[in-house]
Amino acid sequence: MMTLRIVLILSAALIVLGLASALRRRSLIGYLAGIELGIGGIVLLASALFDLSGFDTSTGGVIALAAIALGVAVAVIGVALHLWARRAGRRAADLEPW
Amino acid sequence: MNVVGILFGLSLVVAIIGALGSALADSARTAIWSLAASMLGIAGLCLALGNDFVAIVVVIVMAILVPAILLLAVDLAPAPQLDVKEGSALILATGAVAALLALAWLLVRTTWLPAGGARQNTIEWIGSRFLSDHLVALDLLAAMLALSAIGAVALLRGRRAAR
Repeated sequence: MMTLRIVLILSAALIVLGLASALRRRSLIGYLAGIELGIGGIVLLASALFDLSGFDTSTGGVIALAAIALGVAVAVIGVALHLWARRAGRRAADLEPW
Repeated sequence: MNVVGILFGLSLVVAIIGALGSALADSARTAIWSLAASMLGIAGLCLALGNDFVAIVVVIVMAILVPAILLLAVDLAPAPQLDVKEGSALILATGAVAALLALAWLLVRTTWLPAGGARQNTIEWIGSRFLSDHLVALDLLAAMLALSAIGAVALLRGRRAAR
């Protein structure tokens, strides 16, 4: 039970730190790093919660894998948006290469 | 103390230090490296808890792949050197501490069912759950990944002449 409490508090800390980090950033990449940290907290929460309590451990793995896939999708779209914005800025300023 | 206990303790420290480093770093590059370290800590915790497959996926995807993509993006299109908003640090820190206390209190005060039954965390078992009980979730995840890839390609497809 002690292990579960430690992991629950750590997961809460990771989620809050991730959100705070995302709110603190100016760039989209920094924002994404914060979001990924929050998703890491959710992965740990799902994995630990279903492993250390209840009867259905594999659901934690399923939720964790779904959260990881969500993190990858967010990262891909975020990076594409970041590069697109940079390219659009260079194009507007008539700078090469864009 | 056994090996699992040592792994748990070390991973806990690495995850916390990495998360703090990611949140408090002034530059995006430092935040990404700290994020990778924190993910390694999370993977170590999953491993110590017996979730080998999730730990492997976290290492490969969240600790290597995602930070590599973010670092590549920072190299191609540099973020500002000082990548933090100014002026709202105190409000943000207060809100974060309050949110942390509230979330931790909620999670710790909730009565969770005690662990029981067979512990099934093997790759085969998770795969069979994905293909039976969570088939819709698997399809939705595949569709989400495909949509994100298509969206990224649509945003970044070849250079066009300025209009």
